[in-house]
Amino acid sequence: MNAFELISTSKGLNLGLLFEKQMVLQVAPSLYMVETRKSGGDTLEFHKFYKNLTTSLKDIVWKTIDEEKEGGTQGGINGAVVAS
Amino acid sequence: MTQCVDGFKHVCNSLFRCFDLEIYKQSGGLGDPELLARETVFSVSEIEALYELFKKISSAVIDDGLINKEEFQLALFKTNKKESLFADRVFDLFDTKHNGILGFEEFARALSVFHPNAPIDDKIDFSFQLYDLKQQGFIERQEVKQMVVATLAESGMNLSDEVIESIIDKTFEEADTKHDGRIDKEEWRILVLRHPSLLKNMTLQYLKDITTTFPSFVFHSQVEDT
Repeated sequence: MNAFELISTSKGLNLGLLFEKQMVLQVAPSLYMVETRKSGGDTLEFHKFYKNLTTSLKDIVWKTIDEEKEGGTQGGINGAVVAS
Repeated sequence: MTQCVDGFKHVCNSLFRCFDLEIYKQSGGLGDPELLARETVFSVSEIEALYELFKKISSAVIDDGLINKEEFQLALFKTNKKESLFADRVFDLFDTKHNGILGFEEFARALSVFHPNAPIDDKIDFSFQLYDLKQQGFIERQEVKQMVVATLAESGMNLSDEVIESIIDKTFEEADTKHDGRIDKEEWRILVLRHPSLLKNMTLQYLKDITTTFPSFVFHSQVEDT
């Protein structure tokens, strides 16, 4: 294997990541916020994915932003506040 | 008469020093999309769509229309807690004004190199500069080792020093045709033309679809529909 092949797999050299929409912000040492945003594709599929994600994380998710507001999730930002 | 002019100049200089931060600070903003389109591979619409991405990234920590190092790291790694040798190199290469921040012009001009339609010579040049960590015009063996070690550390992969040395040996055997222990621009060019996959991360397909990814640019468009 070529050393440069290996090097080019590094995340820091993959600028495509600038276009990806998932964000994890370290708000405090044990508190993270995860932002999941649909940028394209099937809304129904996204909702299935999102519901699945939040159900699996039920134990550590305090509140999703959907639960804070009423409705309003037409392909917009879905957020979840998570304690680590 | 010349005394008046000198006096005036002196007053102006003092004034400018008072407003140092303002005058020398880079201004945010889109600038001239048509000029940027002429001087990059992007179309005007693509420039405007790119500006939507730029706005998002540049407002993450300080909303000043400029991307600082922390905002760049945040945009790349989705966390503000990650340091990276490579992200630093990329940021430095984007930062052609060398003032530690990226204005939209620097952002657009640098990303133009990553467009699928950009000339391959630009990609070859950019990647060479990227890997020339000390910027001495050569990619030295020590720099390659540093980058390999950094890549492995990032992915949590463990390779013995022996294995790492042998990988670098083989790479230099092929690349360093002048046998001087380092890779110059010419040798780099020959290497990547023979192994095009080495330039794979120099092309972002996303840039071709950018007007569909950021359609809101239409609402802010400064350009007439043609």
